[in-house]
Amino acid sequence: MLNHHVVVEILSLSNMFFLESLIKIYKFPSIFIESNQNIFRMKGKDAISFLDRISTNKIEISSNLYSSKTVLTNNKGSIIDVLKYKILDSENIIFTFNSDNIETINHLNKYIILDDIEISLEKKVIKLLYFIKNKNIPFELINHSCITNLDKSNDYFRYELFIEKSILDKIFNFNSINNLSQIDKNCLDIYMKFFDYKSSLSKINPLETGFQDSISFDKGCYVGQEVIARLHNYNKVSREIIHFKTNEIFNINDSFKNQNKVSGKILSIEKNFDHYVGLCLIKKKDIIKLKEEFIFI
Amino acid sequence: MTSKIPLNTIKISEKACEKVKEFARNESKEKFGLKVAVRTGGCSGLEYVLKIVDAPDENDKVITQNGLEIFIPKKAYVFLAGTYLDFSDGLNGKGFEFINPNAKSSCGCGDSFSV
Repeated sequence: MLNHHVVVEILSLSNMFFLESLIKIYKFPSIFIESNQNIFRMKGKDAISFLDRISTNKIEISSNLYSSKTVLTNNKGSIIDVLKYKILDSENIIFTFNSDNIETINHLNKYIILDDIEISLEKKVIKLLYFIKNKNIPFELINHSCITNLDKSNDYFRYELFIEKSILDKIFNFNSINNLSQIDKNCLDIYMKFFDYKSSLSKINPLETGFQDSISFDKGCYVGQEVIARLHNYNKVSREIIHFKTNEIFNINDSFKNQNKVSGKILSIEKNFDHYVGLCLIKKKDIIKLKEEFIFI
Repeated sequence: MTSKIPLNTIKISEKACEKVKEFARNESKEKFGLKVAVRTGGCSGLEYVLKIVDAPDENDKVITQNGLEIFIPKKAYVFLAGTYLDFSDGLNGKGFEFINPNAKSSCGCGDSFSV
């Protein structure tokens, strides 16, 4: 908890002009590449059933080889990690996860008691981030061993591709594509309300962070379902992600107060010209109260 | 009742034993045992598994109580040590009921627990 007061400007709808100016400086499409991403394999006759029982999305075999997303939660409904996965067949799932932290694998292994499952590192791949203004991806992915993910925000799309470099080189033409710096990529993510889920973040419910599309509300029990279903059914989600702007750097997961009560926490932050922009998770009732658009940390 | 159960075993009530034997008779089983285990599932992460089986698996701990053989997989035993298994019938009965000292919390319906 920070112990000094800092002015932070909440970027609500009245500040959309600023947000638009944040994104207008970028060319589209743009890419960002991260190397050394891990893809794991979950193998065994209980693999699909196990992932279904332990995460939010409905995990079922399909005739199409498609990638999807599911959220690992604990029994309090808080996010542990976000898995992107592809079901290869009835006994094989490949997956990667946001934090890329071994703790997530330890969490999965902890729950393997009677199930016939083995989890192993499949391969190291690169992660290509592709920011575009329309949904047209310039390559077709028929390769079974890659994982994809598409997120949308306003008019922009954020496409993730986890793939071996040798395959990517064959299908993707890097010429004339704008290559983003780490700072630019972080700013774009902030604009799109996307944050990399870090294992340091705690006590965040997937309904608060835009993962609704990755939650099945009719599949029955999974770890954390009771809390998530109650929040959803009674419309009790109390926090939401909003943009903020400030002149001072904070750490991810720093909490901040409004009128001496904890109001939320920092999810991401990045320098943008002479100030910082970021995402925070804040109590909805405090957003309404903050008509002056200032809070003190 | 449950406080007397040592942590190196589990205890099954006479009523629960009789109910298991009744289910086994209905399935025309002559030699059988009760598999008691936990697996991943439910809202709290771990759910109980009760199954009438013919014989123990290689890694099962075998306990005999009230003439009933109970098979507990060793990996599940750590979650079940000291548990009392009871049965309550009637209109308001809960059926088989686990009283597990390892469970720190359980979900609303009581079918799953966390440690």
